[in-house]
Amino acid sequence: MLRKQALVVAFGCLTTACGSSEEAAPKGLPPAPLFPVPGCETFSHAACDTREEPCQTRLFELSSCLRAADPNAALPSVSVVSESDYTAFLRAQYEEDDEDEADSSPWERALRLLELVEAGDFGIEETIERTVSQVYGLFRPEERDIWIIDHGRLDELNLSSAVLVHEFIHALQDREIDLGAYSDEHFTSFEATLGARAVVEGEARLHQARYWAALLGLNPAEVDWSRHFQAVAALNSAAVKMQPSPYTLGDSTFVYEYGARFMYSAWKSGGQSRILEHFAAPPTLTHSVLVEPNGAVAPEVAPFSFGELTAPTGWERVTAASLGAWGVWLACGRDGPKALQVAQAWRGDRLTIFRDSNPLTPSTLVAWELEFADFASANAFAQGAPQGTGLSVQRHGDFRVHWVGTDGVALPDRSWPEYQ
Amino acid sequence: MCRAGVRCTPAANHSVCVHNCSQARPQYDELTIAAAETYGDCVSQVSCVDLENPEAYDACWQTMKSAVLPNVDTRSFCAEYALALFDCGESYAVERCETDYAPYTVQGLRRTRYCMAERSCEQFFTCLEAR
Repeated sequence: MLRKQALVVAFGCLTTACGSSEEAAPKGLPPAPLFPVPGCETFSHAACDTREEPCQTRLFELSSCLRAADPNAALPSVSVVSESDYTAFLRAQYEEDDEDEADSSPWERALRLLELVEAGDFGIEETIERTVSQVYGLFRPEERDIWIIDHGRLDELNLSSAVLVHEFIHALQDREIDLGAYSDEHFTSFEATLGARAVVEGEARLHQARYWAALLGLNPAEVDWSRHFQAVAALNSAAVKMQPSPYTLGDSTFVYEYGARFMYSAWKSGGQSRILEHFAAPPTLTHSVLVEPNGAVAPEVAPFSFGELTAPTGWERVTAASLGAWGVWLACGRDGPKALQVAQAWRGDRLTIFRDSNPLTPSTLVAWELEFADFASANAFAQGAPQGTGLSVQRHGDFRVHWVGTDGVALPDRSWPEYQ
Repeated sequence: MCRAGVRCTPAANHSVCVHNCSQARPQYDELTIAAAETYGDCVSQVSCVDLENPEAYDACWQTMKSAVLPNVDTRSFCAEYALALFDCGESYAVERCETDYAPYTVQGLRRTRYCMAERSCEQFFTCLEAR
C-alpha cells in the first residue's frame, strides 16, 4: 500500500507552488527590469507555449543550466495528455501493481483510527481522481518521457513553463542517476521512500523555484531563499493540518516542500556535487529531512529498536512499520509548528496492526510505540495525539508513549504490552 | 458614487452619502485623485438596477486599474512587496502588483509597506489582513 501511494505521484509537479495568473504589462513606465536566473543569464527565462517544440527546447536548455548539466543534451519527448488519458494510465498502473501489492485495507483502518485518513481514501478510484486533479506534469522513468497533463490551463504560460522546467529537471536527474534504479534501490519502506522522494522532488522544486522567481520579475539577489523554502513548507503544512485527511495531502508537502528546503540547504552549501551526494545516500528517515537542514549528508539518528510485539489474546498480528518523524508530525494535533518540534524529537517508533482472530468479528487493533528525545516532546505528543473512545495514550518512563486504538471493540488489558 | 446614489434614490442627501461612504470605505481615501475620478465616473454611469450588483463595482475597479498608470513609487513599492511575499512563500508577480497598486497614493502604499517591517511571516500576513 505504502509503496503504491509513493510511486503514483513520484515525479509529478503539484500546483501548490506552480501557479499564477498571467498579467499584461502595465502601460506608462518602461518595462520593469528583467532578472534572469543567476548563473543562467545567457538563457531567456521568458514563459512560452510548452506545446511548441522551440519553447520546449529553450526551457530544456535553461533547465540544463539550472542543474549544471550538459547544455547539448537531447531534448526528451514531451507530450500533452488529456485528463482521461492520464486516468487510464494510472488505472493500468494500479491493475499491474495490484498483482504484487498487499491489501491496503488494514492500513486504511489503522490510519483512520489515528484520524489521518477518511473512509475510502485508499480506494483506487479515489486515489486516481485525487492524483489526476493534483498532477500537472509527469516524468515517466520507464519511458523516459514527459507528460504535461492538460487541465485546460496550458495558456497560462508561467504555470505551464514552470511545470515543464520541473519535469525537465527530473529528466536530467534520470540521465545522471537512473530514477528507475534509484526507486528500486531506495523505495524500500514508508520512511525510506519518503526520504528518497524528498531528494528527487526537492531538487526539482528547488530549481523550479529559482526559475519561478525570475518569472515573477523578482531580483533573485534579494530573495531570502532559506526563508522562502521554510515559509512554503510552513504554509503547506498549515493547509495539511486543516484537512480531514492529512495523510494523503501530507505526502506531497513532505517530498516537495520539506524536500526543497532540505535540498536547497545542500545546494547552497556545496552546489551540484552536494546534491549528488544526497542522491547517492538519500535519507532513510523522515527525521533527517525534518530537522533544520545544515546542507551536509549528516549521520542520521539511530532510532530506538522495538522488539516484536506479541499479540494479545484473541488477536493476530497483520503487519508493522515505522511512520517516523513525519508520522509523528501528522498525528500530533493541529498546531503545525508545535508538531514539527515534537517530530524533531522523534527517536524511533513502530506501529503494529492486529486483527481479531475470529473472522466473524472483524476488528482492528493498532499499537503505536514511540520514543522521544525528551520528556517535553513525549508529553506534547501524548496530549496532541488523537484521543477518544477506543483509544488509549499511555506514558512509559520519561520518553516513551504508547498509543493504542481499536475500531469499536474493547481495548486489551492496560498492562498490554509490558515494557521492561 | 454618490452622484449615482442620488440619481437612483432621489431622497438621498449627497453630503450624507459622501460622509457615510468615506466612513464605510476608508480605503478609497488611499486612491489617487485620478484613480478616484475614473472609478467614480464609471460608477456614476452604472444603471440603477446594476447599482445593487457587486459585479458592477468590480467592473469599474478593473476599468480604473487599466486606466491608471503606475509610477516610480508604484515600481519601487512593488519590487519590495512582491519580494517580501515571495520570501514568505507566496507568489505575486511584480507586473501584476504594479497594475494592482497603480491607483494608490504614496500614503496608501506606505500603509502596506509598513507591514513589511514585521519580523515573522505570520506577523506580516496578520498585518496585511488587518489593512
